Amino acid sequence: MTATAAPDASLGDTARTRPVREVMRHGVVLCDADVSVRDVARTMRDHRIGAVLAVDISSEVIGLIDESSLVRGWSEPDRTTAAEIADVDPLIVDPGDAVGDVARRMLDRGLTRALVAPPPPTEESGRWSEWKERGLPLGMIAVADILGRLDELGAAVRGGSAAPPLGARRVPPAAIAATVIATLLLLGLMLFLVTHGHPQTTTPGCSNPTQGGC
Amino acid sequence: MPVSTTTVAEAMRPRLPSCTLRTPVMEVARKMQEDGVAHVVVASAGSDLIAGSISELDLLRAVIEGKTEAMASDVMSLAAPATIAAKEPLAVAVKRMRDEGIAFYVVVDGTPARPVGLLSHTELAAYLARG
Repeated sequence: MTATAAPDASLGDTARTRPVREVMRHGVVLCDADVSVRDVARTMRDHRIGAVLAVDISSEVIGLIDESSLVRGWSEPDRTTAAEIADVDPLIVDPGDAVGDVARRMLDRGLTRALVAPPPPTEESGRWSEWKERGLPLGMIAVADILGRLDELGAAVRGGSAAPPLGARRVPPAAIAATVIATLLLLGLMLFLVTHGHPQTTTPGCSNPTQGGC
Repeated sequence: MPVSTTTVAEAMRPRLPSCTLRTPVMEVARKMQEDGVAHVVVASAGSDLIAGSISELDLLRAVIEGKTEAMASDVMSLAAPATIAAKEPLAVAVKRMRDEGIAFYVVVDGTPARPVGLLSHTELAAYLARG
């Protein structure tokens, strides 16, 4: 048996690689495959969650239902069942997958959510048909979860090539030139004053009223 | 309550989440989070003119590409968002959504038509749960 959880090489150093398990919402809400679409909508509302898993009577997972799936049962929401609208082929990721890698897979498939489940014992898949090979789903990760924690995850999600650090600002050459010229002018002025100026420069008018010399 | 007789106005979010062309990407992400929406409309400052829209996936793409310092205009989808009249039957809106793969509508009302709200899968799910 080969070792699982190969590190994602495309994501640069490990400090910027965060596994999905550290970011995902743990736990899933289940619904009976036979309940109505309206009941699924109520379950989502009551749990304040965007997606539920439909399971049959033997706890076999039928598929994933999110807000967009509900539209499929719109015409008869009290008659259409959860099983009829469930997405049987959602994106499934491993808890050890890098969050940046999962972000890219969601973007590629145009999905805003992925189900997190233990990896199958054989090789990687991500296909729902291999659901039985995986253990029970552990949770979900949504694009909104990532967007809500950008301060913390931004670096982990950013593409493979290391972006230049934002803090290191380069001083433009024009600014350097201007500083040099200003310094030279100042030095010239000081030199002129030392060689030609009076020891004590007097200005017309009163420069120090407290001494009353005006 | 028969779903077919209700109008778009009854299910919509009665406020259109929007930002300007120059709103920073990170602020758009924050706004989405706070408002609990998946789409934000991008409008020219101080006008109803819609220049484009930004979805969660548009923002995710921006983050992946390292464009977190960019402005809304750099990451928005230029396609004009689908619009629907507030008086339209909800069933018509949902059917068009399914047939044309529309993710959300800008709901408009009055003459000349002005944007008055948003209708997406989120609002439809909430409406379904109320019924």
